[in-house]
Amino acid sequence: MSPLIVLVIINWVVFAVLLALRARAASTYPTSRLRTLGWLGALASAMFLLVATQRLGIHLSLVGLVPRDVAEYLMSVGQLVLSLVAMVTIASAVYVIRRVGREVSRADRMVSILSSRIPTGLSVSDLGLTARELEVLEWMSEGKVSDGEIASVMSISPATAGTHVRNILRKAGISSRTDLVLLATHDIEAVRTHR
Amino acid sequence: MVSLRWSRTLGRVHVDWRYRAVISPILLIGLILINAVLLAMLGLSALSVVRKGPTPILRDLALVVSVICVVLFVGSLERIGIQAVRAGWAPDELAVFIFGYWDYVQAVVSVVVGIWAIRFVRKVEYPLIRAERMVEILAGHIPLSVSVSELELTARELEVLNVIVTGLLSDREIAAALYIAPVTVGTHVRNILGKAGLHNRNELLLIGGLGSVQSGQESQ
Repeated sequence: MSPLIVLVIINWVVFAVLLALRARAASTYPTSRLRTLGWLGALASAMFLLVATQRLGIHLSLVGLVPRDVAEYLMSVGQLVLSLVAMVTIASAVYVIRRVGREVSRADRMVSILSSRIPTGLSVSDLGLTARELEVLEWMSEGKVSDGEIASVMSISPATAGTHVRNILRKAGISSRTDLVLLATHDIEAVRTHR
Repeated sequence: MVSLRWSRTLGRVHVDWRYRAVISPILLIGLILINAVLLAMLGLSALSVVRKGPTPILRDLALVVSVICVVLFVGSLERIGIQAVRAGWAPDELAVFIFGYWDYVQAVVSVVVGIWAIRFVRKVEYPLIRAERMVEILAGHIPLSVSVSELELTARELEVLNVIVTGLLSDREIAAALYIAPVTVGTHVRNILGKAGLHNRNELLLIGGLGSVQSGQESQ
């Protein structure tokens, strides 16, 4: 076995693993926009795997490990299939990037603008929050933002929830709930220490 | 020289291009050329995002896309070479070269790029997931259909919106930036929300996410 064959086999294995990893990651993303982008990554990996498969087949055939016909077949019929698949892949990549990429870029930009509102160096672990207050923050990072929502998931009264939120705001020295959600999501590891 | 040995090995292989008649090399070259052009276009637009994308994460993702496009583009040149040999336009030595030295380089580059891409994507995916979650929490939904230029905002309202998209959200913060009363700011914000059919200021921040607000101001 020549070093080239070994390399081509490694190439194939790398892209097979990559495809599996990408497909698994894509299915676990939390929002549909990210899942779509994730599947695009999986599609790109599949494309590379297909190219690697063609190359592997040709090389195995050229050194005589599989029938010679395979190389010729892969360079004609195989190439036709590959070209058509590539065309579909590229077209869907352009479509997905234009549609979904734009929305995700809005989200990312919004968060990067909002993040500048949190004072640098502010950390949840330095605030001396009680376990109950940390629990409130964790629910906020889960999307329960209003007093009513927090009260119903924690089985407390809305007024108590409001008191917790006010106390956290005072301890953190910030003034809005939006900033609190940002802080909670930003520092989620520290928020979860109450468990 | 190991590489010379491969070339010799390959040189002895007799390829009779039996499938030449089944699928014409000219058709395949045409298809590959279309692919190459599409890849070049995708790669170039990704490169423009790399250079002036709105956030570091998106610039990173665009970098991955453009590198992948370059690798696939170079791969399509190789494919055209092979089909040229099939068609009899190029000497057999070209096929020997492609399946020797060239594929050696190509295989190494693909593996390196593949591993690099996966590590790179893993680095940026967590902040992106966080951003998406925050937006879901803060804005409820992303207002897609809203275009600032269609809202018929007054010059003053556009000024207010331009301040909001920089991350200053409260009446008092906006008022300080524009030297007007907080109450007036509140009125402007309510009017903008009403015209856009939105519910809160975070959603306003989102519709300004792609610089559409600035262009709205220029048209005034």
